[in-house]
Amino acid sequence: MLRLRYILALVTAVIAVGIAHAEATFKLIQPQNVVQGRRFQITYRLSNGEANPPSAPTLEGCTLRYGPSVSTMSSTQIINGQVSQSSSVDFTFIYTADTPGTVKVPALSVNCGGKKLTSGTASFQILPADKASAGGHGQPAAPSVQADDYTTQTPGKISPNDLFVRVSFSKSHVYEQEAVIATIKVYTKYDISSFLVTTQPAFEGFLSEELPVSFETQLENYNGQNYHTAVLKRCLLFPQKSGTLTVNSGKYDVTYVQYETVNMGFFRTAKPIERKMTTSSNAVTLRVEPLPQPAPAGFNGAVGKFTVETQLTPEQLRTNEAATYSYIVKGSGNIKYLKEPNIAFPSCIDKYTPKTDINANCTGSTASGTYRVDYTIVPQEVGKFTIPAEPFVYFNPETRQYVTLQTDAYNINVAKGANTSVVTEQKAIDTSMTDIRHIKPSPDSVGDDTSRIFFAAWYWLLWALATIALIVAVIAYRRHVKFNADVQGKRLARANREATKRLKAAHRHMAAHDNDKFYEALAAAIKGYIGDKLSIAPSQLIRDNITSELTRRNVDQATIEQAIAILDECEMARFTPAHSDQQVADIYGKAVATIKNIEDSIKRKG
Amino acid sequence: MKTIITYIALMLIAFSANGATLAQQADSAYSHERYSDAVALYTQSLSREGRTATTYYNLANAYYRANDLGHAVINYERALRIDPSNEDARVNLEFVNERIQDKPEDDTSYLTLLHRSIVRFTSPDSWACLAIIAFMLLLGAVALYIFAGNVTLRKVGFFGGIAMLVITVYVAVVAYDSASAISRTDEAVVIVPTTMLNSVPRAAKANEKVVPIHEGTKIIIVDSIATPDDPESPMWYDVKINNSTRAWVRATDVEKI
Repeated sequence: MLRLRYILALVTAVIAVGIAHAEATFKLIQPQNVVQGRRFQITYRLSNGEANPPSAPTLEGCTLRYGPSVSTMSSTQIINGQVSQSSSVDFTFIYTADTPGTVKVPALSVNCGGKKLTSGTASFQILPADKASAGGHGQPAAPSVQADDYTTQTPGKISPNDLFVRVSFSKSHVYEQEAVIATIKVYTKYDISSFLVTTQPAFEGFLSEELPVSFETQLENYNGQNYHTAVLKRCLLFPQKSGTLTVNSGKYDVTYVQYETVNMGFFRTAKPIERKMTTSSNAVTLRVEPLPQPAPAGFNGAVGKFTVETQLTPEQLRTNEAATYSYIVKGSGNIKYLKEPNIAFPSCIDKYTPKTDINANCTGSTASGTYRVDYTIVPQEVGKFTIPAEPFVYFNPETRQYVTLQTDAYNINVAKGANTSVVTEQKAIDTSMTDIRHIKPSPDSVGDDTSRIFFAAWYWLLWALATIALIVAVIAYRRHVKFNADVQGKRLARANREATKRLKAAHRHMAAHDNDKFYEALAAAIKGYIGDKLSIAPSQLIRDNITSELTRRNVDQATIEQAIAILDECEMARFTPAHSDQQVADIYGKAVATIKNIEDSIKRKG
Repeated sequence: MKTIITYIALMLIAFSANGATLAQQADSAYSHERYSDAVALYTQSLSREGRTATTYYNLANAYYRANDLGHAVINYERALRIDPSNEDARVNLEFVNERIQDKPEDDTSYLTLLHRSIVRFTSPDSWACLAIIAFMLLLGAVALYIFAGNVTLRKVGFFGGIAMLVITVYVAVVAYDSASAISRTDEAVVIVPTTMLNSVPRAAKANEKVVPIHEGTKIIIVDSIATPDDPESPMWYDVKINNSTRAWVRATDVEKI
């Protein structure tokens, strides 16, 4: 028994050690909107602590009915041996809403374990009671259905005003690209058991961004009637074109619950019955104004309110070492749809595909955050370069003006990097033309350059002169050649003429049978011929000279011998007087033949 | 009368004070990117100071910068007519031709292309000089044949003479082509953004096929016809785009080179 007690004590100790002591908090639970004349609760919740109930707060336009009522709740969790305990105390006050308006709930304070805790404040609305639909003519209006009060319901009957879906814009007119919030809300006076979207409203001409919604219902007064409302969807829209843009209506299949009164004999009760209906949302239009024209240079569609900065890291650039150039835009507006700036890096810097990083949240009525573009650049050449400034231009829809933000231009000095010595791949120099060649400087004196020497008279005169010069030269040459040819011809002609003359004289003597004179004349004819022909002086006309000269001129040996023989016979005949006429005639014939032979030989060689 | 004299005097003063020719003023306007001023000054220079290949070339550059491709092409062609050997004008013309919209099929024969590339080897006057040098060599070869006593030299003279005769004739033809390019009147360039090639010299009817040609395209005029009744165009040209295409085009839409 003692032993059991010991174990129990141990377990209790372990648990006591394991309990995490959460801090005590005191807060006001956000009250819902309420319809005039209804009762409602205001609850303050004290967590993980104990305190005396506070006194009731005074609410404007409300009457306190009861309070505070205290309810306590506690829970203990053991997860994987971890024990956590939580407890809460709710202090609830019940009021009646008297006058419509906005009610502020004040903060209350409690003393919890010697510590003073103060709750927050909240506000809610008291909505006016449903207006009777205008019946007119003093007739009692048809009783309209009231939310929360099923005794007002007519079974099997539903008016389109009792359950509908409404799309609304936060602004009635915007600029192109200016953010606007569209809210799709369902308004109902009945309980809804299922809600199916068959056709979503189409946001044509917009870029849309869905916003988170809390599926809490709220009471809302619309057109004088009170409805339970729930937000189905909230979108942040950026109009992409100007004009009147329309959001088409969506279609919804709704199952709602109606209560039918059932008579149970002694008492009556309400029985829920599900009914189906199809409803569609309203088609809404939004006027989108075009951005003022002309837009300044560099405007790239940014609408909102922005700041811009650029960064370049590292400061010292080296060839073949990567650096990062960042272009950072901060602000609110269509930040998710900004276009990449076109930064004109020098051509000696390799640029890689930039990395775009958008970090934007949809807060309030627009999106805000950071748009960052990181360019990885690798300088290729050593030297001084400039990364030019890239101004950021945006349109501010509040001031309706374009704003140009300047960025810094970077004058960079690229140093030689470590790994530049190895040329991995030789590149051909790009020589293709990208523009026309530059003009040529005009000379100091300009003259008409349209006359061509080809068509000038003097040019063709030159041709003619050259031709004439050649012709004259040819004629002159011909005459000179003819003249030279005549000198020899004359001598030859004289040789033949003398020989002929002497031969004729010899023939005359032969006819007169005067033999002495005949032989003398014949010898003179041959000697004279040879002398003239071979240009040998008469004193040199001896046998040896004649033979050698004729041989030199290629006269054949037989002719030479014959000539010598004739000359010898002529010498002999002068001393031997008796000669027959036949002998004389023979020798004459031989002499003529010989002269002819010599003539032929010399001419042939000539 | 007095005002005219004053005006001329003022102009002379302005001219001498400036000390630069119109063409040089145009150069300066071009350098300061005032291209329309440069066009006007070069045009004045051409009419007052004389036509040179350089001025036409510079004018064409100014037209190109002023984004008038049609006139740029015309003036490059004019520069090339004055001096077919102007390499800058030829290179820029090829560059501009890459940028115009039409690229007619080039069916020029290889021999013609070879001949053209020979023609643009040097200036027309140099070709004339070369022709006369070739002719002198021909005469020299003839003289060698006539006067040489030696048979070998005479043979050299004979065959050399025949070769020189062929060369002289060809060089003379090249010199003629080069020198006479300036007086050609059969080429024109489209100066409006778009004009139509019609099959008949009148505006095309709805169902007739027309082919559009664009600014900067060079055409060869074969014939012309006056159509005084036509309200649209008083004259039509019968044109060739290349050796195989013939059509009619409005005379007002093209400008002769």
